Parts: sequence; structure tokens; C-alpha cells
Amino acid sequence: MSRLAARAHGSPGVGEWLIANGDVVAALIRRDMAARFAGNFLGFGWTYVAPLVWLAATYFAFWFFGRTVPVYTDTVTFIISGLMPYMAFRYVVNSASRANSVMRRLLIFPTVKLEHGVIAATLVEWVNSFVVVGVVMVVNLLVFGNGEIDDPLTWFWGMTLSCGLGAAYAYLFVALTEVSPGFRSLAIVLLRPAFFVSGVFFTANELPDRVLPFFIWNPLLHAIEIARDGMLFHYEARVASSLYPLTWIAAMTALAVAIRLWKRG
Amino acid sequence: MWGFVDCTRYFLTMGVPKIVLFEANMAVRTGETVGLLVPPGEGKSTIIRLLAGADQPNSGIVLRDRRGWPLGYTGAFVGGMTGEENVHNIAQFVGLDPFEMSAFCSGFAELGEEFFQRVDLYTPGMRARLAFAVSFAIPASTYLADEKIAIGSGEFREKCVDTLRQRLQGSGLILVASNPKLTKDICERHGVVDRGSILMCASHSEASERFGISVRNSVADEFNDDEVASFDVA
Repeated sequence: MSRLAARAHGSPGVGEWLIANGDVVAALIRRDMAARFAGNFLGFGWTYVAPLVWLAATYFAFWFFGRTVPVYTDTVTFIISGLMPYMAFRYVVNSASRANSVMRRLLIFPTVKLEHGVIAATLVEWVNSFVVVGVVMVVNLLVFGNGEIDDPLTWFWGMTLSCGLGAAYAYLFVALTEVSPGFRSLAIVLLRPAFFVSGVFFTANELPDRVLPFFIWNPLLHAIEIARDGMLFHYEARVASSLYPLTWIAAMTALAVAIRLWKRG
Repeated sequence: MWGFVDCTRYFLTMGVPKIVLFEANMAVRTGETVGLLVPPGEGKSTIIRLLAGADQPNSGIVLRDRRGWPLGYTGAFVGGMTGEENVHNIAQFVGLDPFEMSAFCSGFAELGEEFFQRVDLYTPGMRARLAFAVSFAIPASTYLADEKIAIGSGEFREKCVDTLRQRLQGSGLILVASNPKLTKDICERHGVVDRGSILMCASHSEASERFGISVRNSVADEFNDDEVASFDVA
């Protein structure tokens, strides 16, 4: 009996449900990869070149404003420690928030839901962000002779939290966009200051006590601090908490699910 | 059950609403074959997209059965994948055995070695063949057709019609068309979309008659729009 037939005959068990949904996500990932590789290689290569351009621009900003690195490491490695988790967040947001348009043609399949598209896009970008970091780190090692990874697990966890925040944020606005297309613009506007307030240019440890309570509201700052803690030998994030971004991820996801259920009536 | 409950769908073109459905109602039992006549340019594809779940109404409810399938739907294909990979991919979506589905589609579409080529290298005709093969490979409770119930010419066209007739022994069909001849033989119930409303008719001849009036109405509306436009310009 095919899985479709099995699904049609009574409610499936948890294992079967997971396999069926895993199949759909795997199929979407395959489509995504095929679409990327089939496109022009310039566009695909840009995914890996863009972080190097961002890195160079941020390095230039550090040099131009005479910013010194607040941690005992070189400027490039410091920038990488904050920029890479931020880029992972943005890549996931950009990709997952396209779920509305990408999935429109596939929603005719009763088994395919918008959520599958968000999960598939998140997984692709989550893996992709580590590939991008790998490329950037190799370049840093070859060109500048520096390559730091203090605690790989903590760094991995920080990067994953950044991706998780991106996925939850995108999912929430994908759900809100179904209510009103105007929310798409709001999602973009809210993201604009994120680059400057999420610890790409500074560390939470060096923030003055009077501004720290405001910045610490930003869950992405926590995720980036955790990733930085895991990457740099001489940095220990004092104010970052895993629980805080996890709570945000759970809250945004729950809100998105509630909106989707309400919209479906 | 398929259909619409107080369903409205419109598009804004340069600030002017183009109404496809206005508080429309329709009820079709799963397994019925229904022909819906829609004047050209009045939203056939939108109606099918609404029924298929690929579009949402501005207000109202669309009744959908879980196992409906648009005939000849090419929107699920990825150009960068081969015909075979696309079929495997779709099989994963619907939970069918990819190899069984692939074998059926390869045989039905008669694409030969092209089945293993990338779909973006296909001609529109080849894509349509593959799309029809996929449609018939998926067990559907109701097929949704936008004007086309067969493609190609000669033997392939006959094969499409024969296969559809076979499938309709156990499945339904909602055929949206602008050509009354198309719905005459294959559909049991008939309806007309007139200025956004769906009117179900007692027979095909009544539907054809109402459709003629509906087409004249839509032409008259266009003429009136032109008049208004010319006054605006003046």
C-alpha cells in the first residue's frame, strides 16, 4: 500500500507522520538545490562571495572609523565572529520568507503545507551558512594566517540559534503576510537596524551599563554572543543566555501557528 | 464536496477591480462531472486555481476535497531537474512509489530519451505531455480541468481522452471552459459564470443559451468601460 493510501485509511502514527512530512521536506530541499544549480553559476557563487564582500566592507568601516577590536584577536577574525552568525540569520530570513511565493504552485498537493517550505528553506540555509563560514575561515587562514575555533559546540549552537531566530521570524511574517501583504514591508523595515544593534560591530561585554538593558532585549545579540564565545579564544560572553533566544523562537513560532490556524478558520 | 460558499475573488488592475467571482455559490459532490462555462478572459484559470488551493478568495469559503488534481498542471515542474527527477519529486509529495510512477509517466508521455533530459529543455508540447502523464499517475477523486482535457494530436490525444474516460469511472471532473462543445459530452451537470455569479443549469442546452447571454454581457461591459474611458480622456 502506498503511503498516500495509508494516509487515506485512518490517522497515521507519529512515526509514519514524521516520515511522510520528512519526505515532503526532502523533496522540497531537492527542488531548491536543483533550482540553484540550474540557475546561473554566477548567482550561486555570489552566495559565497557576498560574505567576503561584507567582510571587506566591515573591515573598511573599522579602519575608517578607527575602531579597535575589544577582544584579544585580529580585526578580521573579530568581524567574522559576529558577521557570520548575523549572515546565517539573514540568509534564513531571506530564503524562508519567500515560502509564500515559492510554495504557491505546490500548495495544490494536499500533503504540502507552507510550513514544509519554511522548514526546507531553513535547513538548506542552515547547512549553507556553515559552508559559507568554512569558505570565509579558510580564506582568513590562508590570507591572514588566523583561524580560531575555541569551543566548536558552543559556536555551532550560537550559529544554530541565529538560524532558528531567522526561521521563526520569517515564519511569523509569512503567516502575517497571509493576513495582510503590508506585513511584508514591516518585516523588512524591522530588519534594517538589526545589523547595527546585534553585536556585529561590538560585544555585549563592552556596552555601558546604561545601554545594556536596551540592547539585551534583542535575541539575536544573545545568539551572536554565544557564537562569538565559541569562536574566539579570549572572549567569554557574560550576558548571553540560550534560553532567551529559544523563548523568542518558541513564542514567534507559536504566534505564527496561531495565526495560520485562525486564518484557516 | 467541491465548490464555493459566498466566494468573492477579484484583482485590482490599475486600481480598477476585475471581478472573477462575486459572492458565488456552487456545490459539487465528489465524483460528479461538472462543466462550468466561463466567457473568455473572465477567470477560468483563477477558478481552477481557487479549487486546487493554489489561490485564495478575497472572502468566502472554497470547498475542497483532499484528493483533487488539476489536469495537465505544469506548475510543479522544476526546469533544472530531468523529467524523471521531477516525477520522483512529485511522487514524494503525494506519497507514491517514485519508480512505479516514473514507469507509468515514461510510458504514457512517450518522451523516449527526453524523459531523462532537463525539463527546461522541453518544448511546451513535451511539458504538457509529461504534465498529463503525472495527472493520470496520481489517484484523484476529482480532476480539475482548465479548458484542456487532452493535448497533442492524433493517437496521443485519443489516449488522453480514453484514459480520462477510464479514470472518470471512479473519479469526478470539474471542467471550466469557454467552449460549450467541450463540456457537452463529458459532463453530467452544467453551469455558467455570469458577472461573477455561478448559475447551475438543468441541461447543457440551457447552459449554452445562458453562456451566449453571458458572453454578450461581458462584451457589452467592455464596451461600456470603453465609453467611460473615452469620457475620462475628454
